[in-house]
Amino acid sequence: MTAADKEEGKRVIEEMKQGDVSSMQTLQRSDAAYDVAKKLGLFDTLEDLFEQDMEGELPNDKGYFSTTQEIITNIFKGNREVHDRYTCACPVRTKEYILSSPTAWDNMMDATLFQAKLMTKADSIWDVELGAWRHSAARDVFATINLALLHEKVAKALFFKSKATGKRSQEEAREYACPQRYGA
Amino acid sequence: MHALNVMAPKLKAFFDNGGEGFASSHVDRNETIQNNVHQFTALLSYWYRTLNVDDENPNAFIDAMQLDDEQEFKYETIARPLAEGSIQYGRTLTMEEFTLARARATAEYQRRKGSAKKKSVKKKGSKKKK
Repeated sequence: MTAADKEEGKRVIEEMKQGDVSSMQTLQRSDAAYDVAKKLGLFDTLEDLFEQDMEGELPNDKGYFSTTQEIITNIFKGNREVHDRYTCACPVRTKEYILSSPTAWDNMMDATLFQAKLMTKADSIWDVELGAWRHSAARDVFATINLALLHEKVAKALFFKSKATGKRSQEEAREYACPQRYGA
Repeated sequence: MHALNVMAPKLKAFFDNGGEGFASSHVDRNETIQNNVHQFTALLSYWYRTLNVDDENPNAFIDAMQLDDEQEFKYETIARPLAEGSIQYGRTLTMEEFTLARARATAEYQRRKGSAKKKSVKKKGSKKKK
């Protein structure tokens, strides 16, 4: 990991904490920057952003249409070197996020379903352009989530997250207690 | 049961009363988003069943949706083959693969429905005899 990766990861997470996800593609492109952001609270920040997006608390003058769309199609995209949005989803990142907190999956699912609900609002009907943007955002979000759900490890994480988190905690405790044995 | 108590009701709200949670096809062109919600449900239901989340009732997740006849037909003949085929291949299906999977699922669904109908006719018939 280079100093530049650290700087990039730090900058992106700081912007995200201010509600700005315009640099999110950095975390798609660079696993190193993603790792830095993760250590600096990426997953908690994602949960906050999903909530703020649903509450309409994020600024309107951002350079993208939907925060949830930006997050899900960038952070959880698979084959990150391929430049289209629908190639596949990253099971490792998705699983990591789901296991990061007891509410992580619920928040992501809520934010995803919220994209579909937005389309039933009256302004999606009379404002054709807004309706089209919302349609595109919902389609992108569902495409990524549905691709993530092809993976058993993602499904296991979301259905058995309390058990998985418990198991992981036990493993972490053992590593902490016997660092020489576990190579920590 | 988190899946049944928390996740399922959120999805069910879309399907209630003939699909009141879905946007009209005027906004949701080609019912893309509706189909995506169906597929999302099919994926969750598949894993719920195959990961033995509920040993006693493996179909509890999809049963909780209480799909009407039209929704059930769409679910069984489009969403489910699409979802389960994609899981099998680890990617989205090609149009050719989807067409084949859909034809198989439709035949299976009709066979199942047909035998269920016969059973119910037989039951009614036997009641009359009594």
